Amino acid sequence: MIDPSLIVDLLSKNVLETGNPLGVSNEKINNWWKETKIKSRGEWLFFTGMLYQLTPYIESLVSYLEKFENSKIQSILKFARYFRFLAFPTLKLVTPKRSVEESNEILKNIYSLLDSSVEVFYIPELDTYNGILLYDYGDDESFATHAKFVVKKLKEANIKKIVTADPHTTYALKVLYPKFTDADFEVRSYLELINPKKVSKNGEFVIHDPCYYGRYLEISDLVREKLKKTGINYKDVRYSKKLTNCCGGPIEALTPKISKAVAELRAKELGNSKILTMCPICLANLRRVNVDAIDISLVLCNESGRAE
Amino acid sequence: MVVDLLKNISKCSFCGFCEISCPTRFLAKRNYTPRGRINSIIVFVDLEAKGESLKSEEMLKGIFTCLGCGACKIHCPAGVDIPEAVRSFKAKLNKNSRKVIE
Amino acid sequence: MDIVQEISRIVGKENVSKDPVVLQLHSMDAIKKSGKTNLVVFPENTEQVSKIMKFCYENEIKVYPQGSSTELSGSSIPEDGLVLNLSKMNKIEDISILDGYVITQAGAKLLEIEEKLNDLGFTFPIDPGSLRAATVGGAINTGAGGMKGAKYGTIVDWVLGLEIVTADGRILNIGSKTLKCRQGYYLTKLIVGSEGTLAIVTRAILKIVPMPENMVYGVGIFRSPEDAMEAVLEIKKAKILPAVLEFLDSDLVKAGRDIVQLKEEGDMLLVGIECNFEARDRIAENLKEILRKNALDVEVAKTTKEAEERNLLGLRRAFYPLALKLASQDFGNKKHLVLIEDIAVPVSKLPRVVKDIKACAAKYGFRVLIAGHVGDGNLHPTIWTLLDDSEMMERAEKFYMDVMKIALENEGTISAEHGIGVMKKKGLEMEMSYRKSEYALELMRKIKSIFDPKNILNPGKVI
Ligand SMILES: Cc1cc2nc3c(=O)[nH]c(=O)nc-3n(C[C@H](O)[C@H](O)[C@H](O)COP(=O)(O)OP(=O)(O)OC[C@H]3O[C@@H](n4cnc5c(N)ncnc54)[C@H](O)[C@@H]3O)c2cc1C
Ligand code: SF4
Ligand code: SF4
Repeated sequence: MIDPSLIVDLLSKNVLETGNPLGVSNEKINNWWKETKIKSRGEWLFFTGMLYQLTPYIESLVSYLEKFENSKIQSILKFARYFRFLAFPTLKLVTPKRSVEESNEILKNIYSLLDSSVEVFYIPELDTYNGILLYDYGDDESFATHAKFVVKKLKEANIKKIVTADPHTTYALKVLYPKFTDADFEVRSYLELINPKKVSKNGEFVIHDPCYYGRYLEISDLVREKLKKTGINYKDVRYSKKLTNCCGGPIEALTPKISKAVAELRAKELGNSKILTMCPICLANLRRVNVDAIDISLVLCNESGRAE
Repeated sequence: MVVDLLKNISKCSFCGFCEISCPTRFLAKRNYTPRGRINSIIVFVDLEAKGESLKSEEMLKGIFTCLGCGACKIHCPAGVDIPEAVRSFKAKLNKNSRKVIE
Repeated sequence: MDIVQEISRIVGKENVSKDPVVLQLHSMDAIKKSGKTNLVVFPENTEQVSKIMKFCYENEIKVYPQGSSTELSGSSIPEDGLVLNLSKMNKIEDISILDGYVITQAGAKLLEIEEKLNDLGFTFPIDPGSLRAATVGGAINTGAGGMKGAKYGTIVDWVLGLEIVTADGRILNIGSKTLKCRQGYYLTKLIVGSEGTLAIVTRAILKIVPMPENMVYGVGIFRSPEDAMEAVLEIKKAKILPAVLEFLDSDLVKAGRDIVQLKEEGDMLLVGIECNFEARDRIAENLKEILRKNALDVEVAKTTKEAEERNLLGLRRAFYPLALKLASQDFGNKKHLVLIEDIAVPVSKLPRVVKDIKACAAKYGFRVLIAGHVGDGNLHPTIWTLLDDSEMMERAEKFYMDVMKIALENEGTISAEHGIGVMKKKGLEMEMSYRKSEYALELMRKIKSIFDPKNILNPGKVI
């Protein structure tokens, strides 16, 4: 395992200085909206929390961390130097373009699903990293500081209703922000708001519920209702919904090895079908063990070119 | 913080009902299970109360490999909020992690 | 000689730990006893177990076999030496519907086996309250039982064969895959309930049965334990053999009233009858009629699904959480212990025994909740105490001893399914002398010394 204090220090430093765990400005990674007709006014503000955008880069970082995992504590200093060297420009070079494109595609699809269901709008300057990693690692102080920064921006823009793209951002905004800040937004996952239409998708899918949707926010049944409307065939495994099991993602930066082993266990439970995910971290981590997974937004929409 | 933490975890009866749900239990050592995580916190806090410090790499690893997934929590007959207890304990270890392993 | 190095050579470095926290976590149990060990070892196969035992036998190192440490008698607590934790040997190797067995390694948990069997429509009917945690090796070695004891007995009736490793490292296969097997003395059954003192169990062949098509459930609330027992007699007279027949005393029912919506208060009987789907109406009617005769309130559900929806099993399931909750209400942050006693008496004696236990708890100043598997006369009087309060712990021990005495005076036995460990060693002696059969203990000691001449296997337990 990589010394947690080291990771936590770097994370909080990056987030507090740049608003982002990789220490990169949001403009550099937030590009999906440029090829989409977005509205700048409406009822629900679309807020991605940057998780979909960040995941491809985090994944390449993790594949580097994997090499360090077993090195002894003594090499921490060397590692720290290396970590800095792995700054965004380097990461960008080693991150497959196709993962970045896929993330953009997913966000475009989510936006378009929302656009045909509710009055949604998007303001790129308001979209910020949600801070959840700080919370996960127990750094409540930095998390609160960051959350306050995010909330202030949103309040200044007079935002009341927020719709999110992934479970971690949903949980952060809906449950954690009100605890750590004076946030009082109405927060929904996009999966709660959309009205998907019939789509022509063949085959049977198995759903992998993310922990936050399945257990913490309990919206698994709702997701299934939406799927039914599209006519997509799906199957549930024993450990689904409230009893879902984790993809291993949350610890990928500290111990890629164990994280991968957890993904393997989950993959076994899910079987060999095509797997539907609803979270960028689940998608990436299950794919690390060669699960044939696809983001649910790509099957809920007919127009997506990449869905099949 | 320690008092709040204790209030929550001192309810643990060591029944082990939580373990089977935990994705990291394949590592076998109990520090990688919810029951073990809760009880290593208890061990740590107890020693600290006596003015002693605990050096255990396995405890550190156990705490930081918790996924926060919550699979354990719904099965705890004592109502211990396991993921939250572990998460808030991380904060304590963050500041001391070097001390705990070296 | 470096023990760690030698053992690491057998099982690999990653399967050995000397970390102080790992040592602590592996020397505790569910009654908060805590012992001491120098090393925790996680073997991956029988050959490794055999090599470890050979090494420990030669060097006279004590070995403490361990599953999930959920025992309630102190039987898994190490004193020094090494802990042999079987949890990495958790493969469920074979299920045969035709031959009616499941073959599993000792470290598999009962719930994992049950899930696999249920997928095929089969079941292993021994379902201790600790189903989620208990390992096959642990359940066999404590002689575990469950809610369906009245119909299915305890685990001793369900073990067909075992692979064991002896104290000096020999691997033996005893019993067979067949239901009938006369292999000289029943060594297989001798190992069941031996609490890790005779051999290490590495693999088991367990008998399985089809899952019942349906279950009819009934709950009755009675004015007194006598009235409840009257109903049990009526059920038996009607030639019904319920799989579940649980008793919950009036104090427990009172404490748990908000968990299950009840119109009346009193002693509760929970009855579960396995039946074909088509028979559900007739059996439900029958049961309702019997319970109505002297119950204050009766609820009957014709199917398992209906029983779940109406939460008829809710209070029985809530027994342990409820005790934990009341304990933590009483004691807050202070370290406390919920003590689940375990005696069995002939069913006919239950009303008297319940009364005596309540009086005994009052005498020692404890609040007591009594739940029991009345189908087989097994009662679990439960109290809670403060671990660091030596006076209270002493009182608890006295209560414990008195409850065992009550069992003996009523033609019962001091332990039904939790075993002896260290908590009931005195109780076992008391029982054998009550039966004027002290020599039985002598025989047991001799058996122990034949299996384990150097006394290295879980020493200090049972006898
Ligand atoms: C809340 C709660 C409810 C319970 N309900 C019930 C119940 O309804 N019915 C019941 O019968 N019990 C019950 N128990 C007691 C206990 O859970 C069971 O006896 C269980 O079977 C023990 O399994 P384990 O894997 O935890 O074994 P452990 O506690 O680890 O070990 C038990 C004994 O077996 C020995 N042992 C373990 N594995 C091996 C092996 N492979 N080879 C040789 N020896 C071995 C140990 O040395 C020890 O002596 C309950 C316990 C709790 C905490
Ligand atoms: S929250 Fe942590 S301890 Fe609980 S099941 Fe998940 S990983 Fe295990
Ligand atoms: S289920 Fe709860 S009480 Fe039981 S061991 Fe786990 S944390 Fe402790």
